[in-house]
Amino acid sequence: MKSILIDDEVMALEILKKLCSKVKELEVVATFSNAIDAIKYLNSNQVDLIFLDIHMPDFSGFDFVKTLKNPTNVIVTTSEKDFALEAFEHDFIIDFLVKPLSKSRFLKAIQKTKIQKEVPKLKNDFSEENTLLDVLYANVNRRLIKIDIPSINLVEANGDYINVKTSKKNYVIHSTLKKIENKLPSNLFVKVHRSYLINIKKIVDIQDNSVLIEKEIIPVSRINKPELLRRLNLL
Amino acid sequence: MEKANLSYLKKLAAGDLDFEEKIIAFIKLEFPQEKKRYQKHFESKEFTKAAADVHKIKHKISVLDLKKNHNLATQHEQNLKNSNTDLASEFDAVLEGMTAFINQL
Repeated sequence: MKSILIDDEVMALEILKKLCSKVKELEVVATFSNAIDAIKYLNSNQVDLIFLDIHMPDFSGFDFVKTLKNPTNVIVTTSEKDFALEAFEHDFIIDFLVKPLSKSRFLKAIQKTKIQKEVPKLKNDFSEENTLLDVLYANVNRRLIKIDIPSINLVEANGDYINVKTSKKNYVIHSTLKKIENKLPSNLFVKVHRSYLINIKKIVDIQDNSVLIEKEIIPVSRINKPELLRRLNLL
Repeated sequence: MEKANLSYLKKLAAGDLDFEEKIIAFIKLEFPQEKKRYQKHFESKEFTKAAADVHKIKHKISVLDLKKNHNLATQHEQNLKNSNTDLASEFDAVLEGMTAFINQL
């Protein structure tokens, strides 16, 4: 099993490496002192298992888990027992190890990973089906107007209405952001704020907590930022 | 007062002296930095950051087998999140005890 280790404490990484060396099947392919570098690595490399410290500055372990593209088993390591409940709300997290790590508990976690690997994963094809549709019909002034989905730059919530903005035209439609989000291909659109859904291909640049779509600056909320970063091909 | 020891480390190392030495070197390197960071944030009343520093130090506390002090640190960390400094001097004593132990390694 190809594994990576993420912890901002060098001593913790060294202890993990030692424990991993006790398991023949485990191959530590990289170690990271922050989550952002690990995200970049995972953009071009696939691993089977991630050992992840939760408590890291700037970008926490939980933020990191939200960015994972492929189903990858994650074992959380932390000094905080109270994180356990939150940890198991994330699908990829299969075990939770409290520091200082003990060999016996570590081996149990690895055993769990092996069992997990044998369970076939259900694939949700819903979003893939959506990508087959590249047009959307919306009720605008009692007419069903065809909107070419790839031409949509962004969708903005505005009370009981949504503004669907393309480069050439804006459409004001009586609907909700949630409804249109379900109709748009999830590989192309991402919610960056409770009032904004954006087309990833239309991003010009990203700065701090905002994205530039053509000439419009769109806010990015803290809660949606990990998902946005997950979708980008970060260098 | 609870005394620090290397029993956890020795058990984990299982006779691997290189590993033991490596971890001690990392403790000697990282602990003074973590302690300094905590003191700086505490003195400037940046209690949320100081709480995060305590959290980081907790791993060293547990590696040095200081179970009671680990509980105290956990409580202090929680207190700091609410800008409560009641356990500051007790935690300082823990840090000083660790410093003395680490210096003689």
